[in-house]
Amino acid sequence: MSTLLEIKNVSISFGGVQAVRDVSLSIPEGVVFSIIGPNGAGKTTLFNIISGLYVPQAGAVKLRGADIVGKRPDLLARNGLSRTFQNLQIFTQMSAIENVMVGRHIHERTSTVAQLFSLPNVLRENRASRAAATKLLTYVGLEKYIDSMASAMPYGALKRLEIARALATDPKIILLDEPAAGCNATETADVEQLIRRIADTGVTVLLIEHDMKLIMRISDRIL
Amino acid sequence: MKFLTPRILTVALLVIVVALTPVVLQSNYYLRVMTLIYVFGLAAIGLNLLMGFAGQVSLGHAGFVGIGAYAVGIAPTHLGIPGLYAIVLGAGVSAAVAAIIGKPILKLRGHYLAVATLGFGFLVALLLTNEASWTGGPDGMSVPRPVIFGTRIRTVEQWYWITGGVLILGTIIAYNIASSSTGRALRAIHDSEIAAHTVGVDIAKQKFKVFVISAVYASLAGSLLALSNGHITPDSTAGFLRSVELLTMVVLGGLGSIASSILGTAVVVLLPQVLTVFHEYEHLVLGLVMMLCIILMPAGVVPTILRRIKGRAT
Repeated sequence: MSTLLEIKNVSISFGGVQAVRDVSLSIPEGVVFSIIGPNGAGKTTLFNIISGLYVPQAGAVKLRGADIVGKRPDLLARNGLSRTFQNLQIFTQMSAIENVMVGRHIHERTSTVAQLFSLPNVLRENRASRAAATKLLTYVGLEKYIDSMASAMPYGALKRLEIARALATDPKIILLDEPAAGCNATETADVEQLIRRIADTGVTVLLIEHDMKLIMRISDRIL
Repeated sequence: MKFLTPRILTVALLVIVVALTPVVLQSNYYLRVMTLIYVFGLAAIGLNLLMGFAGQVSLGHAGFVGIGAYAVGIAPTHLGIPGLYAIVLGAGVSAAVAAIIGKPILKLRGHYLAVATLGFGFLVALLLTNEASWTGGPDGMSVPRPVIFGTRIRTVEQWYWITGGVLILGTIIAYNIASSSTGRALRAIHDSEIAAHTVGVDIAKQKFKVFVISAVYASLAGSLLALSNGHITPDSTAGFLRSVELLTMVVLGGLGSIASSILGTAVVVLLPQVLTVFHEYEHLVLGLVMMLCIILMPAGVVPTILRRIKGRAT
């Protein structure tokens, strides 16, 4: 298995607080890799570094061999890296399907001028994005919420909506930040099954989770 | 009834209003008032794309109205460029200015962006006031009426039809943007910049794009205002109060809805006309009505009324 994501001696501090110190890990392609640790250990900070939201003060992050430190998050998404958030970051004023369609943004290539005049290629692109988003919402089990406003959806559904949106970019690696947090037993089982299915499609999963049973059942490797 | 989307409803209603107003209200006074609604409606739609969709505040949008207005004043008078080309020139200059200032100021957020755009508005108004040899200074300048197919366009009725037509086109284009990937990206940025960024939306590029588009809308509105009026001053086009008025149209109507911008504009343009019965208390009552609207309907007049209707229906 070739290495997909490599983190070497990464450190970051905010003011006087060292949030991540000298972390190294190597994630092979196609595995479910879980990161565990107590609250405040810096797991989410590490996710923020990997996804380009923070720039580490030291160390290197390599995605398929290419250094990605300092690269903008949108460019990383185009390079196959996608994520969800511990504190939901849903587009609440949009419907479920529109949320996922935003995830198709990097695959939408019509020019602004064509969009101004709604040329046929724009309409085709909209239809294609809508179809892809519908498929993904069905995939994560949210077909009954397709046209619901995100602000009106229950918490557990929003967790899965974030996963669907992250999958819409067609990632090689998906970073899931506590996907089962706040979920009841049934919802957690659904999330587990979903993660398995994602991994089965060959997408590498990097997972932060506090539910140890879930972690033990699902992970190929644990840090 | 699925084909009755907000887009089709709005455009159809707009076409009906534009077509029937001259039949019902056969007075130049009313046509002038409606022309003002159409012109400022165009600017408000552009500003709503920036504020309501992308969530970026501009307190200086009248600056672009001023550029558009003075382009059709200065270009024919001083440069010998005919009025119609001057409209395009004004839009081009506004787009270029928006592109130049947009890059640095759109990095700012919230209050800081508001203050930066405020500064831009003041700058344009100052420039137009001080460059008196080109602009006529604070007294303004007269704007030559353009000639289309050998006819000089000068009557109230002619400008009524032109501005009505342009507003309909502007509305359709705004809906096109809203339903495209750009529209979705802008609304995503408004809701969660971080999430939009991590799913691949180039935040800076999208903000820049909508800023330029909204500047062109404002510029076109400015050109039409100048041409239909025949006379412009810095205050009536690029003044700070004009910026505030545009902002009020967008917020009062309802952020993020194109139809609301036009209705918000109608309210802001019509209220002072209606309130003239209060004579010297006109401005006091106007301010009071607007305050009450915002306090009682913070989501905007149109969304609040629609919600009430829907609530009653269910």
